[in-house]
Amino acid sequence: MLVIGGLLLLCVIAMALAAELITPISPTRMSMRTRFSPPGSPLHPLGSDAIGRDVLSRLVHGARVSLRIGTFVVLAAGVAGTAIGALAGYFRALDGPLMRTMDALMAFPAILLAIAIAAALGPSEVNVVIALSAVYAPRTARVVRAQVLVLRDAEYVQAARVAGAGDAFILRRHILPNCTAPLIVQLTFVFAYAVLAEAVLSFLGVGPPPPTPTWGNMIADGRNFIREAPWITMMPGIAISITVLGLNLLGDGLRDVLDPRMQVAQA
Amino acid sequence: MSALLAVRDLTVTFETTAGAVAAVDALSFDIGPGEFLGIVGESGSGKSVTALAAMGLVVAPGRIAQGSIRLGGEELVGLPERSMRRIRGRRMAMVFQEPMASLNPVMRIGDQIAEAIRWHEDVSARAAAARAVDLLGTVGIPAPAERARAYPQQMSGGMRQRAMIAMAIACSPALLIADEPTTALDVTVQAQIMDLLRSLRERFGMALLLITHDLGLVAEQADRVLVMYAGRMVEEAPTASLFARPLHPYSAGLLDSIPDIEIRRPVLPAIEGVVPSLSALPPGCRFGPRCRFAEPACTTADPPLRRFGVRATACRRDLDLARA
Amino acid sequence: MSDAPLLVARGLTRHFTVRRHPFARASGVVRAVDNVDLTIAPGETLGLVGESGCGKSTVARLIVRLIAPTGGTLLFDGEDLLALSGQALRRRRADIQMVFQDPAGALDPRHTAEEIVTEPLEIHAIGTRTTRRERAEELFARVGLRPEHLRRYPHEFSGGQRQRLGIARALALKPRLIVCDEAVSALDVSVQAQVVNLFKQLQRELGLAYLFIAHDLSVVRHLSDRVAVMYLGEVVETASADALFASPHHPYTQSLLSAVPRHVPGGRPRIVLAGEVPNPLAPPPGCRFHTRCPLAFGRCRVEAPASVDLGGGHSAACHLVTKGAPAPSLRRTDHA
Repeated sequence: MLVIGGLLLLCVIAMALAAELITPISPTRMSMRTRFSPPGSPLHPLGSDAIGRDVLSRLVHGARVSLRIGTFVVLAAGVAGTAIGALAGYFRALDGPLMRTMDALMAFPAILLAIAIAAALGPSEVNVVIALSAVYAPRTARVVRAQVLVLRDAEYVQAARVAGAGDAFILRRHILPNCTAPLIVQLTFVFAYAVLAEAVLSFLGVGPPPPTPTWGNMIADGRNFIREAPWITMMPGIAISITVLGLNLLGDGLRDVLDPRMQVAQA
Repeated sequence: MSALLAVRDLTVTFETTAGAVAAVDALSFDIGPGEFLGIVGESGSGKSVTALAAMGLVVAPGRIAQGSIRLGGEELVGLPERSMRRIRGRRMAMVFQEPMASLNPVMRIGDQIAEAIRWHEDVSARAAAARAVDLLGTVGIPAPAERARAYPQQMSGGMRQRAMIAMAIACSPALLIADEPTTALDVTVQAQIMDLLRSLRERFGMALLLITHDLGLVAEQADRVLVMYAGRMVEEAPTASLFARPLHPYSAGLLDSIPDIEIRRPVLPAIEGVVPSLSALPPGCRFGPRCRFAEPACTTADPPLRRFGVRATACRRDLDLARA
Repeated sequence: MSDAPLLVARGLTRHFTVRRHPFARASGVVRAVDNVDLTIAPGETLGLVGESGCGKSTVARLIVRLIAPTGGTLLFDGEDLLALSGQALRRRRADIQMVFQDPAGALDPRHTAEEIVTEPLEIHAIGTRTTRRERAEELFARVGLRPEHLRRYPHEFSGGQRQRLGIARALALKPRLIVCDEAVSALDVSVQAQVVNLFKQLQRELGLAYLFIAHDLSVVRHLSDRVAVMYLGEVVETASADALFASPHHPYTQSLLSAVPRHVPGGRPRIVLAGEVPNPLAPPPGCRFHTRCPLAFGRCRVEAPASVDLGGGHSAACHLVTKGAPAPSLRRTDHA
């Protein structure tokens, strides 16, 4: 599971990095003569769209946007979620105010909240990252807080306190390092949701504005021709599925590997 | 006297990342009808696995690699799960260390016992419920009719263990296996449970197999004791003989190293070293590296179990020790 | 008294408030530790025994200042521990260290043995990396671990070795008192004896005082100079170990001692108490032990007994105990 997930993700990353090598055609170059070329045509191996743009080129350049947004969402949601979760879990007085705020954010359906924030801020890549981070930070905070609640009462934390350690030392030395395993698993799933959510936002027109090649934009552009030229929507659809599947497999695999119970069984 | 439970050459292996290890290695012993046998050992000795094997509860990655377990003459090894289920609970039953883990938290105690009865006997729900209340009374639970309606978490640890015992004896099994039944309990409650087990055994004439790390528990009540170490039986003896003169250096060391409440010694004669890992057993005698009496010859071959009348020991030096 | 006591607890009390269920308005109060007096002299071992829920672990956590008491005083070396805070408290903590019950849970799985043992030194900014390593080696030698063990992780040790590691960490700051909370309970029988001997040896070599908390009376008997017995948050009897085990006065102590299995075939007559420890949320009025005491009479149900001084540091809190008189007997005489 871990290996298959990792391989799928590696393929997507390689595709994004090597976009120029895979196809020299610009993702925004239009050609009215070759509109609606089906896959397999000599100039457009995966076909072309309604205004003659190369689907392959748009796909590989769209991968860059998806991965970039995913990465920044993971970083922002990871940092914010960890900070909020650790503070809420460790300091009892902060738990109520912080986590009730997170609960309030989580009470909205994730995608609706993202649409609302992105629509309010205006369509741009940065705003998509801000919207998705705001959506996924509370979920990350939950995971971190749950782990911190367990760790706070661990005997080795008590031992450090008996030796005179302060809160900052205990958080840095014992609590945060022992949160990394569930955090990595959680962030892998956040990455997957972010890729999917970015596509939805783009599709609805609140993502990075056209002509930026994103998978969501491609599906939006192709939806009117879904009968005549299904490849325009299918290709980005497949790319999204593979990326999300790869990340989910990776997350499940990591969860198994990082599970402390698994390590006990080996010991 | 024909044995109630006859275990012969039992080997239980567990598949691990480091290859198969034998948690129980070529173990043979008998329990007579109504007898109280104690199996004593530390963690990794194989004592609990022995109990699970007898109950047909060894699951993957463990398996019974060889040997035979006969209950009243009937072979249990290789018996299909369906047939085993008929025997379990009816002819032999088991009580575990942590009763909470064996009880269903969302079902009333009385209903759980009644259900266990109805697995084995064709009785009406009403009759089974009445018997459950009787059983709770038998195991010394006050106000049994009322407690039958309680959920497990509403009971104290001692009461839960009593309820587990009630469930175990519901169909009057010929053999009751108790795996560390008092380890999770306080000392005054432990005394109550041990008294209960003894009185039930006298009353119903069932055989009792007590698995424990606590020599004190077997000393007071068991007829006979097996001492296990790293998957092997190292000594078998009537309780009084074992405590009077242990033949195996491990049994002797174990007896010596336990502080006694009435005799105070400046230093406890501890057994040095640690119990070996089953995947990295020392050559020859498994106790050799920790043994005060070890000789070069002890590292060449694992000494077989040798019998002297009612006693047995797996030590090369047994005769010297017996004479000493 | 020639030595000034090292630790004195007077009227130590800790109450916890709990809500019985999420919708309960009123909350119950658990008197986990109620008015406990303890004294530990330098280099002495005080054993603290009792069943689960009697408050002995709470006493441990109060003394190492992991939790704050609701009431009472705590003097260490004549200094009021409860008045300390900030830097002064951190310095004082070095004198009182703790060894925990679960040797695996008390060690951070991500740290090497060396990091674990030197952590207290790092917290107090003692020495350099090199001198800390030397100190770790020295501590390892003291507790019977080998220097090559320094690079190992906790899961690579056996249970007994892990507990030695926990002891080495407790020794790092050169404490004068170590609180041992069930420190040998989780160990295998043959390993338990090794660790018990290590505790004795360290006491001889370093002049340590111990507060040794355990439910296993045989181990407590072996290690302790004096013993205090707790029941439902209160100390019911205190005496020298010899006096307590030879002539226990409180009915609870008597039944507790008799319940311990002897390693002698056939055992011996035993007082089996009826019932179990009552809910600490609603302790019985009067003497807290009266619901299980075979000798309870009218007064026990209404009036909590005061502690009776029996001389020689022996005291028991029971209405039936009087100085100079024999202990109340729980064994029924047949010709009544």
